Amino acid sequence: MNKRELGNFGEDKAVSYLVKHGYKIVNRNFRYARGEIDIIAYDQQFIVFVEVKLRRSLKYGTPQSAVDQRKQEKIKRTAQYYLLSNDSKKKLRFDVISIQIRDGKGKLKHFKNAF
Amino acid sequence: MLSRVISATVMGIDGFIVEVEVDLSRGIPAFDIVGLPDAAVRESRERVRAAIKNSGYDFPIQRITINLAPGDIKKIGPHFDLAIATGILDACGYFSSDVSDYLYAGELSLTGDLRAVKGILPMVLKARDHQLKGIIVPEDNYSEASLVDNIEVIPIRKLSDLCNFFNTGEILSNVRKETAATVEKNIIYSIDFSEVKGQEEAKRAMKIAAAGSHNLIMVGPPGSGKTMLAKRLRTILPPLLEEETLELTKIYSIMGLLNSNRVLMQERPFRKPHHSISTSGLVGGGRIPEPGEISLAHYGTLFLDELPEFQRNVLEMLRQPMEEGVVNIVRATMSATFPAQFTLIAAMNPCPCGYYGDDRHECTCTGPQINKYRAKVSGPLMDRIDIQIEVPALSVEEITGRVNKAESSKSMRQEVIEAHQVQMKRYENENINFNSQLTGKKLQEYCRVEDQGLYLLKNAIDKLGLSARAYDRILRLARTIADMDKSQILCTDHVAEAIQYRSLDRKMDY
Repeated sequence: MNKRELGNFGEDKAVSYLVKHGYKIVNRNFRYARGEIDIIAYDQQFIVFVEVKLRRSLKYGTPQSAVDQRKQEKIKRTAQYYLLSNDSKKKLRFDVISIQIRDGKGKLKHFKNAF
Repeated sequence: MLSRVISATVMGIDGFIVEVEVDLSRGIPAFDIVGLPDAAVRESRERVRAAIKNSGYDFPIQRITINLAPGDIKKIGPHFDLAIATGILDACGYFSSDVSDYLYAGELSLTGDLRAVKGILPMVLKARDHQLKGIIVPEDNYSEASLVDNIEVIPIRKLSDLCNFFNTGEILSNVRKETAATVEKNIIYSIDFSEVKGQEEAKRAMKIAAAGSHNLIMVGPPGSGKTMLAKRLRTILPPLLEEETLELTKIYSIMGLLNSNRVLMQERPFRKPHHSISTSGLVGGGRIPEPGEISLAHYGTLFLDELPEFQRNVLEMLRQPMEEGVVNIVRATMSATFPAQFTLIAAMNPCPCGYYGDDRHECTCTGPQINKYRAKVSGPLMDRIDIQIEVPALSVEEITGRVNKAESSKSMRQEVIEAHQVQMKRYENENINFNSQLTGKKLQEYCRVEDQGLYLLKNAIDKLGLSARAYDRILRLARTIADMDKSQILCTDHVAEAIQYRSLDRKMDY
């Protein structure tokens, strides 16, 4: 599996998880010049921007810790850009879904309101 | 969703009302505090967030903006935690009654428990003046807060107690109300003047110093009892007056020096800083001005042992506050005025080796050494010390003699209190309490000198080369001596004794 495939695999897993938990998926891989948001979904009164992080080993730290300050800023900026063209009356929330792959199986964790 | 609650900050020794406005709005979740918060206030974000969550409430996922108004005053201290948390909970709709009539002060722990904070007393007083309904304080600050009458004080242990109070009117804490009246009034000392052998003249001087709040310096060889005498001064001071109590307690409140054992300052303070003290430690200071030792000695005694060992510039700082009874601390960001009406008691050796002028020891110092040592205490400072006495080494008979013949603190204090009452009666309609505070016109009015005494005084000014200030100070001192003698007019004897207490000025230049 190359990087792209791996990323798509993780995002697919995250989407099916969110759908199972009653989220309505609005957009996937929303991008503009300066950033990308993996998943945009509605959860009741919230519009949720989800960042999916996947790791094959813990050698370089947990997946969730890879979403650092710089990455957070980037996601927030992208979210603002998204809201310019898709005005929403909902409250904003930023989530992180971390997936750790072990023995061909993914272990998923959902951090609500992560930053 | 907007909420407005009231808190306060301390400027100088007084509370200052601060409005805490909380706005929740849509947008990228954030938590900002504006309105000149200092580091401790900015850190309160993390405490408030955790405390709200751990008290079982949902922390809002919204854009939170906290404004501390007025915006031009620096907000200091962790006590804004409670007001900020209350504002957020109120904006989220957790309270069913109005929360804006109370003043909030308290530091939150991550668990949602409340911690005691400094400066509660001035804030309660301010809340009362501001005609607020009450003040909400941590349980540990309750006894201090309840010193103030005519305002409701609500103690809370944790954040959830607050919701209980506003939703059901129930106060969950059961701390006991401690008023000034219920606090023990009798103070028992483990030390007594009767333990000091000999030194009758010094004890007489101590009584005068205590009665009229006159500054005093003792010069003598090591081991003659200077420190012993000074420590026992507190056992003979007149009691702290009702109106003095609250002001003094305020100073101790903002320094965080009150605790469950000492809620109210009930005796005149006795401060004894080590000679390594810095200027800001002594007179107060810091980027955000805090009171120093002279303010902690307000209405009491500041004892400087080994006076020449203090840094000279530190001692010179005392000059202005000694005259005015207040100290103005001005810093770039803010200025503050702290009261500092203290009686200075100083002790020093006559020379570096300590035995200059002693009968039984040879002084080993050279002339220049002695000069240098004494020059550390400047003329202007000495000029402000009314009573300058020598405390000589004791004779063999005195050292081996029985102690119990000496006058006890109890009878000395009686004498002091009587003299103080004479002053209080005389100054009933003035805003002073001690002879040492007499100035200008009042000095002329209350210090009528007998003709012969006046002649003596003129002579002394001429012969001793006394300054105009020294003249005033002699009159004040003579007034106290006359009061102890229960005399209306200043007799020759009184003036003579007062002049004699200034003789060190002259003796020092040998």
